[in-house]
Amino acid sequence: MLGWVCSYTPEEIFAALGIRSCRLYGGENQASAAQYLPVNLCPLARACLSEGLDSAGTGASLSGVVLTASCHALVHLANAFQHARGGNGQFFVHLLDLPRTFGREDEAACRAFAATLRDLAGRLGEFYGVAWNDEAFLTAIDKQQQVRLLLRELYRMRRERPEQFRAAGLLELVRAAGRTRKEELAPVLSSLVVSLQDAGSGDNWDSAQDGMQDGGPAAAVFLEHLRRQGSPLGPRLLVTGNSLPPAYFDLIEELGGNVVGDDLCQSYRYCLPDTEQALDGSGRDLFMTLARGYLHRPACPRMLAGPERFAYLQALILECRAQGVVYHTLKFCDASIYDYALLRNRFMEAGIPVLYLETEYRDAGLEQARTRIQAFLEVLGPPDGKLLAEGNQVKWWTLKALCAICCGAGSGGTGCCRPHSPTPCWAGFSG
Amino acid sequence: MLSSPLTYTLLGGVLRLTRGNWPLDAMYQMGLFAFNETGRAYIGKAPVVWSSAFFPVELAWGLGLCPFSPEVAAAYIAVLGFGEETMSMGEQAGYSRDICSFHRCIAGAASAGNLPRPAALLASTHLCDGAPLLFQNLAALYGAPLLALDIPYNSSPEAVRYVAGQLEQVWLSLADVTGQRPDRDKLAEAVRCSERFRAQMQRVNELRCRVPSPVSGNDMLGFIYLFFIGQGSREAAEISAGLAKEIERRVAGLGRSGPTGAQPEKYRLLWMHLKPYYNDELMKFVEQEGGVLAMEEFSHVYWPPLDPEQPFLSLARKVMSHFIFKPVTERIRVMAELARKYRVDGIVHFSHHGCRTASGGALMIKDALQDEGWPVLVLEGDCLDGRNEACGGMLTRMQAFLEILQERKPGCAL
Ligand code: SF4
Ligand code: SF4
Repeated sequence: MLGWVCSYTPEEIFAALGIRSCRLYGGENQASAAQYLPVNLCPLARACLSEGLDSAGTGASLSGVVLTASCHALVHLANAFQHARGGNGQFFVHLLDLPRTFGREDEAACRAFAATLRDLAGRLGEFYGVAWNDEAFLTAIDKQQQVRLLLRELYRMRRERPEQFRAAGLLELVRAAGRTRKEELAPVLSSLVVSLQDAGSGDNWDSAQDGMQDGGPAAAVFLEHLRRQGSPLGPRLLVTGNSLPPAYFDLIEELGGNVVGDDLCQSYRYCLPDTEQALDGSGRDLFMTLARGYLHRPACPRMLAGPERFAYLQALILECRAQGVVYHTLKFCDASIYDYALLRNRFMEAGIPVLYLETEYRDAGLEQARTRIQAFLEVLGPPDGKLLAEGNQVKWWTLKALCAICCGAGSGGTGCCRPHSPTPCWAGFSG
Repeated sequence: MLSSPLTYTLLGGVLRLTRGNWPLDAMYQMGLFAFNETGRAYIGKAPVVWSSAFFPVELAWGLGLCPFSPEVAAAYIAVLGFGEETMSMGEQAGYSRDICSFHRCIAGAASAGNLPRPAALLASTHLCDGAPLLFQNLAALYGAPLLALDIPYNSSPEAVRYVAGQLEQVWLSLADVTGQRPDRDKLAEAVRCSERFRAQMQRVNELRCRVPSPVSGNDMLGFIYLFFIGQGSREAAEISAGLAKEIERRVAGLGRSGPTGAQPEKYRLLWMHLKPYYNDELMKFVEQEGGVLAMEEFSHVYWPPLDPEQPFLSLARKVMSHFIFKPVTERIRVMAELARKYRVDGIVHFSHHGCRTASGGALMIKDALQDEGWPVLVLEGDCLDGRNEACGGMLTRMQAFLEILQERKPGCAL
């Protein structure tokens, strides 16, 4: 079983070679990483190392890892796996180059990535003693794409009916997708999608349950997890940044937030690569098709695509009719910290309220976050209310509360978040 | 004031008066070079391009531009005592205290309008995760283009060609945005200067194998300006040649002697990463205790000779050959080799808080080097931010480490 972390990892290649793979998510416990990775490194990387070293859990079945050179946390995660398990040559550790430049024009980056993918396929084949088969590759690409499209359909439904969908349930589903053979998952998802479509827009989850056909018990379990029950209906939110732990999604919903969209690596972003062109069977270079599929999807914070990223998020906000944004960073994740510094100003200029959340990729800190999320939701108002930039009826205390969430300057705190800008922030304050 | 030519005339005069006080004449020359270039950047005599550490800045020298290193500027800001205030401005601009303090300082200085306006920003993706991201943000702030080099880990011939192709593109785009004519002869000349710098620094490093050490490694860490921004300039080639000569004279028993003068050399150290620039308490302490930085990771010349006839391929090979941009086993191998070559007693990894690249591998490096019998100290701290809690116990930890080294000395009675 191969472990992997980043959503730029080409699962299609593992599947083509018939190698089982499993996305690592890491658990609450990061203890066994402490020997290899310092505390001031990404908690996700540390958690994944702990998971991969856990001989009583996932670690026992891992025979290797394929990690992208996305950032130095993952580079050192590969180093740590090599250090801890790679010594005898029985454990496969591969660091996959991932270009940072992005965009449809960057054909050279796609070619370089395609060469890297081909190299990975060769090395895996050699290590596991499996011959490459183009036919199997085509099937794997096809299945993966099918799963992505089905997942995207579920996201589309959530956007329309957020009050029925549990955001953490969708996250759990995508997480499961990263650990399941796609040929097994595709019928389950398809049954789930069809029954939810048939159930229509009312609160018809029971009829969805009844309508389930060939998805078997797995689909029923997923359906149950997807069902949101009993939480108040509040403002519509987009969650971006990097992997927010599921408990925080539940907290947001418990407090009334409607998560209508996200742009997270372990969630919606997983479903974004598009490799449809591969299906025409015209004998084109499938590695190149795969490279383009991954590199052409909307960029994540680690790519050098700040302006395009903002445009993409803005479009997503409009599409989801989100009233506010929750930006999550993992402590010590440079990619999201720098991304936030850029986007924060853009969001402010566009009048889009943002709540900045930082976590250590564990549930500790939930209570602290509760107050801030609560205050943010109160400020945003009822669902489908206007964006702040559009409405002028916001009361002075609301502005103060907003400011307190952000930097606190307007409510007596220190340091305005835009000290040198003449234009006021979205809460109406300027330096 | 920063953009007034008068400022530089006056300060330049003051600097010249201090010539006799510098520990090495080459340092004085470098100070003068840095000062003149800074003046050129602020006065705007030539288009300024920002170049992040480890970007092959030869491209900019080869176009007659004025390269500016914000990382080095941040170090000077800290040396001058404005670090905290500037970093706080960076934090207010949205940069968390968990990131590299060099970057927070740059972001702060940029948001306050205290840095020379770039015509373009150059960054490479290897070795530092933060630099290209910061430069992207600052490119937006200044409305200038970011020209980024995407560098893969694997250095197959295909990958080298990929980087060489980008280097040529960046060079052409840089010429275009700064209104310069892309002249291949000038570029070849810059690569020739860079090669002279490489050869001279290698000569310096050979001379430094002597025991006792002919030069202070702490002083050598002051040469980051040449390493980060000078390569490709005529001045860096000349200064490094002067430095080699100066050390040769010392080794021959002429001129000023050893690194610390009065102190005997008790502990020879290999120093990894950089040092605190906000004050010199730690380095002074090491010196007082008889510690000498016999060699620093940063001074190591790791890259192969450059061929001016093949500038892009040469520079591609140079950037891709960095031993930190390889599996951590390579950094371990190089450090063990340096430790043997410079006959050190112990190795100190200065773990700069926000640097994922360097400190991310520190524990594994310690583990492996200790297995080879080297005493290793991972010293958590921060190059610019003295407020960082990691900086608190630095002296105590260093002292304890030096005591361990003392105990290991043959004939120690303890
Ligand atoms: S969360 Fe950030 S630091 Fe961690 S692996 Fe992802 S990009 Fe790297
Ligand atoms: S110290 Fe590390 S993080 Fe900071 S600029 Fe240098 S390489 Fe980047």
